[in-house]
Amino acid sequence: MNTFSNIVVAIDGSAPSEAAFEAACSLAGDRGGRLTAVFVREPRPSFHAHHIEWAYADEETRRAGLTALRRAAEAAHRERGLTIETKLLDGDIVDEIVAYAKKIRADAIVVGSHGRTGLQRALVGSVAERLMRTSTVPVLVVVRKLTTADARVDRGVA
Amino acid sequence: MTSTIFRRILVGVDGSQTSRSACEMAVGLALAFRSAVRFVCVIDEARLVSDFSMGTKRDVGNVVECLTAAAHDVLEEARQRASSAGVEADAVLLEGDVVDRILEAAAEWRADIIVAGTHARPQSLHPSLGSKVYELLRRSTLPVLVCR
Repeated sequence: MNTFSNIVVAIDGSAPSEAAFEAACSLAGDRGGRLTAVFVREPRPSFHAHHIEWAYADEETRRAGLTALRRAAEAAHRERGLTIETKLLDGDIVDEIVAYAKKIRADAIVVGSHGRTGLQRALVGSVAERLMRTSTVPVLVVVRKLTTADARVDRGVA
Repeated sequence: MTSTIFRRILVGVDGSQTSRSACEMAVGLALAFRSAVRFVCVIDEARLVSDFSMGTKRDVGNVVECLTAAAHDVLEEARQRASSAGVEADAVLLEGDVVDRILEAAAEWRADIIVAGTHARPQSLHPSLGSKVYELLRRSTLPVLVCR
């Protein structure tokens, strides 16, 4: 059985998402698996005198997303010799991840336990939970960052 | 070179369909990473007694007995599935709150990952792991792989 041969990992620059990325790299690594990092831009409000506008198309988030993806790809290459694919998506984070995973026929989705939201306590796992409800492929939810000792062993240095 | 991040895989099983998927995934992972697998099934006896006695003093020993026997079957089936794939696995039956016991078992065994199914059997009265997987996710400090 070929488990985890085509993985989608969601990144957003948060610590749990870095841990998720590490785990995804370990899952894909060494076995020639395909790994795609996705960054989902959610609509952001801009506040006006009498209304709120929701827009995806702001240059700042686009650059932030592309930078996060590029850094992830560089780290995977530098630290593990992995070549990964990257994709910037716009929309609802859960819908986009699930749709993209389906599109490329991914066999697993990896996410951090919570994203960058400031309301972490209230929202812990809300994305992960919605993902689990929506996704038809297994979802790996990663909580903490691997220790440096783990990472060393993992790279075969220790 | 073999990655070593998933040396020990703890799988919560409850006999539901998604718990079977969880077994399959765990076996696949274990083959890829040469991990050891431990299957854990939890019976919440206190909850079971209060549910099935409807709060009366009536003896529900039969229900507990049936469920315990079924849990043994579920664990044995999982263990056999693993060993037929050449994966080293053992099985543990625990009593108490499902999420508490799974987390304790994972910590005690020093598991690297917990694997579980998303759903319990439909209309299941007994609080099996599938119905509590969100709670597990919220409380776990280990990565949790959720299968359906």
